Amino acid sequence: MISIFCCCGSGLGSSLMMKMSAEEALEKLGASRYEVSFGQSSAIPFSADLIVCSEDMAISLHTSVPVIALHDLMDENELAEKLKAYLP
Amino acid sequence: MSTGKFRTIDPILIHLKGPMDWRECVHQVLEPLHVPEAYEKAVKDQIEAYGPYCILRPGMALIHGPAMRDCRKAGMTVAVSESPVFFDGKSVTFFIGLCAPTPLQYMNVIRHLSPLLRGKYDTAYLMTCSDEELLTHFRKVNEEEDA
Repeated sequence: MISIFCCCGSGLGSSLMMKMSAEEALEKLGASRYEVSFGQSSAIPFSADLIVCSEDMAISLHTSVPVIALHDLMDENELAEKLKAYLP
Repeated sequence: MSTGKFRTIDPILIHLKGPMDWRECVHQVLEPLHVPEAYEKAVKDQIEAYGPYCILRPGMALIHGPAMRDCRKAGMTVAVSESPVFFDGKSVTFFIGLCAPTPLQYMNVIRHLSPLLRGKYDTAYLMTCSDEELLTHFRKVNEEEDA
């Protein structure tokens, strides 16, 4: 099971949009064992295996968890391509 | 509690005139929503703390903060700027401003808004739309009514 955390500054807007995109991308990639949550970047859960956020947000994150930094938050192809590397 | 009933959020379309910095831009995008000062401050504070995370696509920003009870109802502005506004060096000309009083209302709006900003609906496309086309497009955003 891979636990993916999508985050933004407010924890409600763009992070939820990325969660929706991530779930669609994971489904298209045929992934079955995953959970996707979203929230504020200041509240990264201990259980997170992977973080998804914007390029700008990625710069300000201080975490040992791998980060997918998105150039275009609404581009499902970009997200799917970057997610592939982390799927079993 | 979900009621299953939805109301359309009428987008407020504005045109931003002239060069301005991102702080003034945030103010002008949120002003038509009559949000409390604390909401506007929270949006600016978060951009300062985390960088321009509000940029969804190249050239497009979602001006949004936390759900705040003092925001009396969910609202949305759609703003087109004749001059690029720079967020940490990144140029933006198309803006969506959002507010909502509760997290649930906020999430319901985002769920409806998200599909309208994908695929061909990038900044270049939206900037070619007429006012009427933009309003028609963003009127597809609905909000679930409170129980």
